[in-house]
Amino acid sequence: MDVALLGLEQILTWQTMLAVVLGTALGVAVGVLPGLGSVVGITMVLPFTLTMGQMPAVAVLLGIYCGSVYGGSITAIIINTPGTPQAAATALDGYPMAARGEADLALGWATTASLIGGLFSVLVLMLAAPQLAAFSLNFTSVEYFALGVFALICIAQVSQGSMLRGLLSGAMGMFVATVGVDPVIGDMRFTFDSFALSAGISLIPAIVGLFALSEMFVRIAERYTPTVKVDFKVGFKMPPRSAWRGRLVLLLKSCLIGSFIGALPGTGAATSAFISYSEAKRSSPNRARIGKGEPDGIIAAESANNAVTGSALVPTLALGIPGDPVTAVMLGTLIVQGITPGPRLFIEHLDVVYAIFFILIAANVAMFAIGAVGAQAFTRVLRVPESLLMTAVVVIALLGAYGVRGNSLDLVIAFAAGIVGFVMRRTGFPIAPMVIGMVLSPMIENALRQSLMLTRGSFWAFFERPITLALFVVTAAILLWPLVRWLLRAAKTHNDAQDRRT
Amino acid sequence: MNFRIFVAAAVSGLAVLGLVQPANAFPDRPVTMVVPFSAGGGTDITARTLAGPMAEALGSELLVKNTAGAGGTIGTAEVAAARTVGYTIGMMPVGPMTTQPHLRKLPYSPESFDYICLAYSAPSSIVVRKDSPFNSLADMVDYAKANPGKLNFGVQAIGSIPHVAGLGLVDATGIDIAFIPFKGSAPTFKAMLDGSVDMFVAHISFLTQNADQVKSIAMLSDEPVSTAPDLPTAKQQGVPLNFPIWGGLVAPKGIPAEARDTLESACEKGMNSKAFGDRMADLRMPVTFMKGSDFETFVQAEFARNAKLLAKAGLSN
Amino acid sequence: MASKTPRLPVNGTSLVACVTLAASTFMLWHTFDPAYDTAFASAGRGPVFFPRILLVIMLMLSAAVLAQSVTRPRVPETETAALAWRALLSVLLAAVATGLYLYLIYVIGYLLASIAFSFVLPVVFGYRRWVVTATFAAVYATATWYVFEMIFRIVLPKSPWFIYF
Repeated sequence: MDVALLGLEQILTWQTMLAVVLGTALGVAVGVLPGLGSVVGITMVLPFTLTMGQMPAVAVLLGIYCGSVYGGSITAIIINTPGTPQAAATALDGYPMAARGEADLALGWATTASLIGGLFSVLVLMLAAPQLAAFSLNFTSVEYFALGVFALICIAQVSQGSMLRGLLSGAMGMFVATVGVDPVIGDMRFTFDSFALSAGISLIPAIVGLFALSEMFVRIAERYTPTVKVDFKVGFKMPPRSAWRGRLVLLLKSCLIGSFIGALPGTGAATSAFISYSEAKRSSPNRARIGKGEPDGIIAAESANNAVTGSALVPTLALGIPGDPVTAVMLGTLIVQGITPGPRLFIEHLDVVYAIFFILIAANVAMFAIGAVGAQAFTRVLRVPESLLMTAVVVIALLGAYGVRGNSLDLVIAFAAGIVGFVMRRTGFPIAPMVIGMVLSPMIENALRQSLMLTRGSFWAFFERPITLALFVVTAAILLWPLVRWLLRAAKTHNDAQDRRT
Repeated sequence: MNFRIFVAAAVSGLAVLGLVQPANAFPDRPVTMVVPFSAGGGTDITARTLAGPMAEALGSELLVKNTAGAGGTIGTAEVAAARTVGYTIGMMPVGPMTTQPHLRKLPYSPESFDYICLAYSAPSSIVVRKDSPFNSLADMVDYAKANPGKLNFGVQAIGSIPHVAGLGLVDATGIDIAFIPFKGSAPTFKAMLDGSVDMFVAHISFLTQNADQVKSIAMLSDEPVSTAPDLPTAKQQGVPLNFPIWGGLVAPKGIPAEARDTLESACEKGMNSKAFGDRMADLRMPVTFMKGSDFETFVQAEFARNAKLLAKAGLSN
Repeated sequence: MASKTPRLPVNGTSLVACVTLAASTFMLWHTFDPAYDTAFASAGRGPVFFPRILLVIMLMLSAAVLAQSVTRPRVPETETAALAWRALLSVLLAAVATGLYLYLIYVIGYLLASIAFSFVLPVVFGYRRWVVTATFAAVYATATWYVFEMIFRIVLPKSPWFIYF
């Protein structure tokens, strides 16, 4: 307990508290802006983190981290354009809810779920970091491959209602992500000798095009179609306590999924949000409404992606393996002050570890406050004339697409993706599977080919690993279950029919 | 309205916008430093640390622009193709400069640049897990000779300097090991911790930062490293391997000599600043400055050496 | 969703399926290009090993979608109402404006191109309050430029005439 107090003492300075609030606000801001993510936030604060004290530096970085993961959901809900890839799943239910005028409530669900997810993962980090880190080392490339294949189920879950088109959309996303440099051996693929294309078709410009640009085209196309006037409610509305009834199991499950995936370096918040969303769609009592503006969809996506923030620090601190640029810079900041990551960190520098816990808690609380206050402004955006709003969105989204890599190809990709997205939406192809495909494809291919190199080309060696085998079995069971159920029902009706005949 | 005041106001307004350019000496406007990787990485942090004091020496703003993609080649090509006025320079690391051009067709080569200075050069090291039975290069080589094809060598990317260093090791010792590529140093490190790979080549600051979990079996430098003098080099163990991880400032070929000289002296002043020195000390990296002309010779030597090793491994295009 | 506007003469879904069918066939054929043979292979799996699997799946799914949309053409059509030619023209106009904008960013810089685009796009949308549009274009483009260039420190493309934009 003394150590905890020591940790608390380290962060209870005005500098650190200010750093948490400013960092979180900046994180929310870059998260909200489509295309931009935490990396831009780091670029801004990097010159300061090199000179400011250790705890304020860590505070500002963790603030950006938590804020940006949450911020993406705001744009996803309000204008159907996920501000960050992590929030792509949030748009699936958040936007339909906002479109029927309940943006205030959608933001309420998203913000509350984010807060709970974030706090849950801090708890995980506090209680089980060394154990979780040790467990994550059971995940070699082979297990990552199995996890990636398991995650592909999301494509099928999200495509319900237009299954074949959804699967095709997912396959296209997976293929498009392979264009450019072969991630394993560095050869060029499908670039047709274009140097510009060797940079590959990256995720963020594609999301900007598929969502923001196509939304603009769709709305222009519909401007001759009379629409029902929606009364957009402004502000921030906490979901009533009664509404949580029956959703707590889902919330807990989503938090667990997010915390677990987060502890595996390199998988990320987008994957965890999709896995959690697809699990909600498979098992939630409200699953029939998911995809049409059901709170369950928002809860699943937002609690899972924010639950990644705390647990992503597990491999960062306990193993010295940062999963993304934010944690990498944070690790660098700690190391400069003479703190060596590794299992012994939790023994020798427990005060620092506790200080980080408290910073995370403060950042999550700040995130909630900023979200609740900011909602007043965000929801008002919906009352801006549509033409000006869409213009603003398109300009900022293209700017964001350019800003990620400073690469002119990305603007072309965003434009092309905008047209593809428009055509897909007009012809009934869902867009989300394409994004999921693009997220998962590099992970699956990398893991598959690394595994094959490690096993010297043998597929059978995959099945000798218990975790991999278990993941494959679960994947097969989930995929085959509807078929089995259908066969059982068919057999039953057949029997009933025969019974009647006899 | 008084006409003269109007003209004065208009001219000063335009001057602020930069339309009326006074013919000052270089630099009279912001210089852009292209970093071919994303913000937050090692190259980026070094570039930003240098940019502050260097801008002070230049007396003009120095903006860092990240142009990422395709292993750093997109940003490098951007610098090679920039206007030759000296306002676009690049912080170019060893990979895009000396290994990538051998792997595939690129719109640039070391001949496309004017050289300003070497900005950093850190020794690399072959690292293994702390609990590994290998304590020296000989331990590992003996094991590899007794068990050909058994050991896995992790690489951060095919054709990267750590990979080329591994190829150099194979070339010098004749051992048979498998190279397993990962995506960057964090996944490679993880693969070593989970037992997938037995060793990889890392930057010296990685070694000191993860001292709890890894150890070096050979520093890949000719001279003992000043910041880690007690670690034996590969040369001391009878295998001369020298693979520093470096980066330096370049400009598109053909910038005015005056601009190049100004940039070179600003680079030197920047590197001698306290801010830069402190940061390098934090990373356990020696401050290694090299003049533009020396840097050019150095790059050419590295380019030729890496060409040979990559060709031998069948990787060149 | 009942719509009085005339339907497109062709079924959009089958058209898209035809395009993806053709594209995946072509790409699959392309993976047998000799350029990929000489590539350094690892554990027997070269750069087109994984894409080839994806392309075969794409090919089969495209065929399936095509078959479904031809045999049951009404199923996908229920989800979308067909577009009037006027709407299609607006979309085309917006696409041309956006494409031109992206091109102009590299010719006249981000700021000037954005002012022009922020003025034109609302007009394509049918917004006709000129003063509001002009003010919006000037203020919004400048504000985004300022935030990126001055606060986020992201260097944006510039015009050949000015130092800062």
